[in-house]
Amino acid sequence: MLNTTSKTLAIAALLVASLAFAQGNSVITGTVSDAATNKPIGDLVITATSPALQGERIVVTDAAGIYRLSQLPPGTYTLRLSRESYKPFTRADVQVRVDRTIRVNVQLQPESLQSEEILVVGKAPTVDVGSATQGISVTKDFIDRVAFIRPNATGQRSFEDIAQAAPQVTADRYGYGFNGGQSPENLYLVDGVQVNDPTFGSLKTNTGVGGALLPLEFVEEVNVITGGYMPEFGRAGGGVLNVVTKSGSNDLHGSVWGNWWPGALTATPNTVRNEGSSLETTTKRHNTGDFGADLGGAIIKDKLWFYGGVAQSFDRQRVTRGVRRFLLNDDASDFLYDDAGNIRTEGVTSNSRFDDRRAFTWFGKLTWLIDGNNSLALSVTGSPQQRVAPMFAPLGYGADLDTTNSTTASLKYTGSFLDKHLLVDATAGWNRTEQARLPNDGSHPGQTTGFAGVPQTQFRRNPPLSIRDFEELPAGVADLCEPAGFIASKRVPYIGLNRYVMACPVTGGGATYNIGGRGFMSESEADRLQARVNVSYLFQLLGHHIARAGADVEWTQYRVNKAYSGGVSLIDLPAVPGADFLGQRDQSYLANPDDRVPLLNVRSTPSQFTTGLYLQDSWTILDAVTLNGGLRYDTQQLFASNGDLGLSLNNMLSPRVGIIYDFTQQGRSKVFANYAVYHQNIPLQMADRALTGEYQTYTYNSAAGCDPIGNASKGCTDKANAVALNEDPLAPSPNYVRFAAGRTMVDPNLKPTAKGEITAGLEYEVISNLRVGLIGTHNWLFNAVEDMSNDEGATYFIGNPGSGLAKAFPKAERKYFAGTLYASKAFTDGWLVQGSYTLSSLYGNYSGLFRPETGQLDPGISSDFDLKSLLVNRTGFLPSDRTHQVKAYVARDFEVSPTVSILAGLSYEGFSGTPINYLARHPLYGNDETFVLPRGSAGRTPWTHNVNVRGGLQWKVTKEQTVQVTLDLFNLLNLQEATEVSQRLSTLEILPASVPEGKDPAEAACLSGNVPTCQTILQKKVNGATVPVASTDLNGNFKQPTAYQQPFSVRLGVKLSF
Amino acid sequence: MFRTISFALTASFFAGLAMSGCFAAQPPPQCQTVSTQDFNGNPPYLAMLKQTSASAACTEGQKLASMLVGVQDYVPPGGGAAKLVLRPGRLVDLAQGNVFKADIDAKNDCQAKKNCGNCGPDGGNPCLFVDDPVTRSDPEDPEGKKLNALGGFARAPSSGICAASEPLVASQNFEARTLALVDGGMATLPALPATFSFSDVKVITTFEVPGTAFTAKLSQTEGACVAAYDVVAFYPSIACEADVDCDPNTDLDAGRNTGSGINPDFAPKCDTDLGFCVPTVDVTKPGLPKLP
Repeated sequence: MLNTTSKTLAIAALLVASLAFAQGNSVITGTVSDAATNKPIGDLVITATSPALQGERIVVTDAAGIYRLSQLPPGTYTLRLSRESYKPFTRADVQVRVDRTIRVNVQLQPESLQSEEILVVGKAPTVDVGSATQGISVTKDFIDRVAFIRPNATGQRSFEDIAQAAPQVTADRYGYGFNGGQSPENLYLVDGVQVNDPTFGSLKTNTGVGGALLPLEFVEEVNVITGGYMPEFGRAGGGVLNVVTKSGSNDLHGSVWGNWWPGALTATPNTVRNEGSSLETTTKRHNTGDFGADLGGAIIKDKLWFYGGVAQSFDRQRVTRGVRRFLLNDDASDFLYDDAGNIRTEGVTSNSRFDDRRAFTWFGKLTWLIDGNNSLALSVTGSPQQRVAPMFAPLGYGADLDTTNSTTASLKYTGSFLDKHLLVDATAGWNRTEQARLPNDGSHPGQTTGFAGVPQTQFRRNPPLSIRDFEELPAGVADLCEPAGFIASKRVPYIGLNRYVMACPVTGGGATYNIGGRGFMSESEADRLQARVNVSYLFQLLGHHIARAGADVEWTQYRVNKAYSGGVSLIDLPAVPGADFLGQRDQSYLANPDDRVPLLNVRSTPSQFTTGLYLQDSWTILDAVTLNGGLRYDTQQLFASNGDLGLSLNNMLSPRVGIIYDFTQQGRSKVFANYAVYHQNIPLQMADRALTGEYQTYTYNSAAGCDPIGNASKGCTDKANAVALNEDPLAPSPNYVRFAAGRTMVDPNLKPTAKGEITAGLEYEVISNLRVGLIGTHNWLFNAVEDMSNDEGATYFIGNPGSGLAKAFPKAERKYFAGTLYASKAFTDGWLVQGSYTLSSLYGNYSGLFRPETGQLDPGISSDFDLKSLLVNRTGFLPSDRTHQVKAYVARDFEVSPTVSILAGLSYEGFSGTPINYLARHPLYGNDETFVLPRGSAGRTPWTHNVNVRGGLQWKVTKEQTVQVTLDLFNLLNLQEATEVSQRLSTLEILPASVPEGKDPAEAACLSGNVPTCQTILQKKVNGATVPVASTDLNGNFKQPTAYQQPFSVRLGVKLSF
Repeated sequence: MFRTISFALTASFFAGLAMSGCFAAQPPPQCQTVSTQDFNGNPPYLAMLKQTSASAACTEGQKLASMLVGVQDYVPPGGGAAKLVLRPGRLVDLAQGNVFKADIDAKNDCQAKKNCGNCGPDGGNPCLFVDDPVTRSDPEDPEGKKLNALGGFARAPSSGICAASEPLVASQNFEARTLALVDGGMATLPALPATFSFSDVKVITTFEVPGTAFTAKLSQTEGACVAAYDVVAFYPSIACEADVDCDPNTDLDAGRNTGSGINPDFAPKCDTDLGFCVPTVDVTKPGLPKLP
């Protein structure tokens, strides 16, 4: 554990600030008029009640008959209207979603005409007439009935996966990207507190454990805002995922649940072939499940309520690693091939181990209605998670241990003043993210004992090493593989490689074999303290206004202890046995020429400070037109580990305007348009790596004194063992080269990453509760922040491609166009529908905060744009571009008897493929960094279709007790289409080709079949000379699948509620 | 309660805003140089030399118009004294024998003598034709550590300059060597004391030129020859025959998949006399004005 002081600080700040928060931002508004005269009715009392509302809300209509119920939590409401000379009127089943404005106009019959109370059910309009915000709101009804959410890697169904149901949302490696953006660009709010990982911006990590986890059982509603939002949300270049958690009510309610996703009912996944190595790894579900319980009720009736819950999940995958030998002919001069031309293989031996992940989540909430005008809510949640992943090499550290724990506390105050015309909501929040990436032997970064003290060595040797150079095989089969020390000499051409004829190679030809320690390790904590206040003022001036102003501040500190195990990462040179080992990422600095000072580990404590301020007004004229306008101002400062300012983003001004016209004037329609500018905050990792600086050297370590197989790796980095890197008589330090040192410079004219967006659309409620709509979205980048070099990698700076110091670079470009047709029906009358079709394009040279091609998540300092020479052919359809996306979710309840009903849900998701590139080696940046032909020239991955079914049986045991049994069938048709393919055309330095005007690039370069007119325009660099590319230079695995859709599986669940 | 809350929040917000206002500008670059090392693909700096004096003993071969200089800074993390090394190419060449040219056809017919202005250890001496470069060493410094001119270096720039705190001196007392000539004869290279001293070293450290250029005064001593120069050096040294070799951009038609590595702001062109790309702007002045 790191040195911590801020836990106490955080809690103190929470108490001192004594802030609070609204439970909701939703509004019911409308006009009440006399049915006989059509004149407005003033001074009429409207009472709103809802299971979601603690207590009741009362408003009075003004002289124009207009009322407005603000700051409502989402839920189903009943409105009661009463005034003397009119008979009471009740409208039930008013569906209110989070952050929405619903118009409910009422005509009251005079008492003289009507003698009994009028009860109207299920007719209230559901169109959000108050904003041009784009997105969907997902409630419990939807979550309970539709099997669209698979549990995540830890076996838990968490809130962020709701986003996939929204139109114009595309899954990416770290979550879901909205409107062409990427997941780390989104703002994730749980009860008003931002829970993005402050260091990387994302919620998920590569290991599958990480980030804030909140099981859907604890969630009341999730508002997925993909665009068109007002200045009250800031610091996100993408969308907003706003989660409202459950609260207690006057009645005691609780539930207990369990789900089981058995491996026995999971189909066998497709295997990804590894052509270079005789090792083959497959992963199959063994058991996944979760269970939990929650309880809510009143501590003091009508005054103080509680809600709490716990959930535990586990996921166990069986990982089988087999040795499959390649079959050779009798004199071992060539391989044996099957009819398709592939080398024949045969299993030699295999063993399997478990890859285990688990997560525990706890949640607690107290809600206190101080009086009719003031309330306080405190919620706290935590989600410790862990993964133990096996490592098979006997010379290795056994298993990875990855842990994370995200803890969030939120204190919210809601108050109304001046006869409910002035509304205040305020939040104070604290979020802590703890993460560790360790070897599973109890050792930690910086220690010299255990596997933290052993360097990781990667063997790439060619002629290849045999499996028996590293591992003992069972006696009966060992002779099927070459013995230790075997050196192959015969080579044959095969799938683009001149390949050594060998039965059991584990290195060479792109294959690698790792032994030793964990490699990169880290232990970190990040604390995020937030405070925000919003003040709304309702007034009349040529119509209704809701003016809103707000301010927020945030301070974040990241404390990390990081190291490469053994202080260095070793690679054997791919030449001959006995070669030297290249020590790379050696954590050290040079104090004098060739005087290396090792740093066993690096401790860094960068921080950041942001402030935001906004002003907005929503002006409704004549109950038909709403004009929204506002301006947001943000600043962000990033500080290096020593507290020095590292980067400053000032004066980020984000104007946002929208217009909404309800042509029915009854809340049943809207035509809208919106323009917005969004600014992206920079996650803290940049302050850690670039602004604090890293210290690394490279050297060659003589194999004479460094033999990792013989477990003498600790001597590798001894000074006496270093040999000259190469013949450079002018190098002041012949044996060591500095890889990184010190802080990266920031362009003095740096502009923040900013995005412009226009949305326009039409929505109409065709029948009660069923809305159909058409929406168009276009967004584009004004600027992006990246690190670049003007001198091909000698010095770097952080700037904006295309301007300032980086004026010689092409501008960062990301253009998104989308049109969506959608239909949505909330769960009423026993059924619901959510469906959309999106036609979109995402084009440019910059994907966002991470690089989808490699998964590199280094926000603002990725290898994108680093060198001008990397940018040739980089503009085209981006990796997240999917032309067509169909999403359809339907559910219906069937009543079998008064106590038993059947729940049935069906979902279909169909996506067209993503672009494929021709990638080769870049002379300075290595594999896959040269775009041989323009981005996307190699076609697209195939369409994927996924059908999920959910069936449930609900039995009301008593009035208060319900048992629900569910069955989820994921990927019903077991379609295992490729979702990713190899884009590596070659491991050689192929020059980016300029394609003759008007020609299809792939055809012109003879890469899409042998078209008669094609010509060999591809050239490779060999020892400085340029020669034509031969077919044997190309990777035979190019375009072969590297990942498939998840196979068919069955999940069973049971839930008892009372 | 409302008042307390709004006061606390407003105060904290404006305090924050005021705090952020203090950091309107980005921090200046820190003292750094390009660490030259072929492994990294970073060639030496090119020092352009303007001779200010030379003793009569200096031969034409000893008078320099340019010189490659290896450079590395040593700025330890956290704090502590920083250091800078300049490694003069001429001294390395003397040690490695690169100043001697081998007889190309190995016939020792001295045909090359006419074209060979720098054939002997002291210039105009009779040609010494050998197959390989003649390496030389300093018996008191067998590892050649003093080929590096090492000295103190600033940690933080002042007015866009990171200065060396002392003259940086590289020196070798090359001992005499007997050579076997290709035609079977023998020759003796006399002992040679050589010193290269860089004084008033100023590394330009601005946003435009982040340690990629420096100025200095250079004093050269090779035996009896003593010369002085004004130095303007920049990164990187790129050999050229035509302007196209200096292009900072890739030139795929010419088979170049990387740029020259010279900052495009330096607007480099080929100086065919030097055989190296040189900037057409003054790399030492703010705004990089065009050179006259």
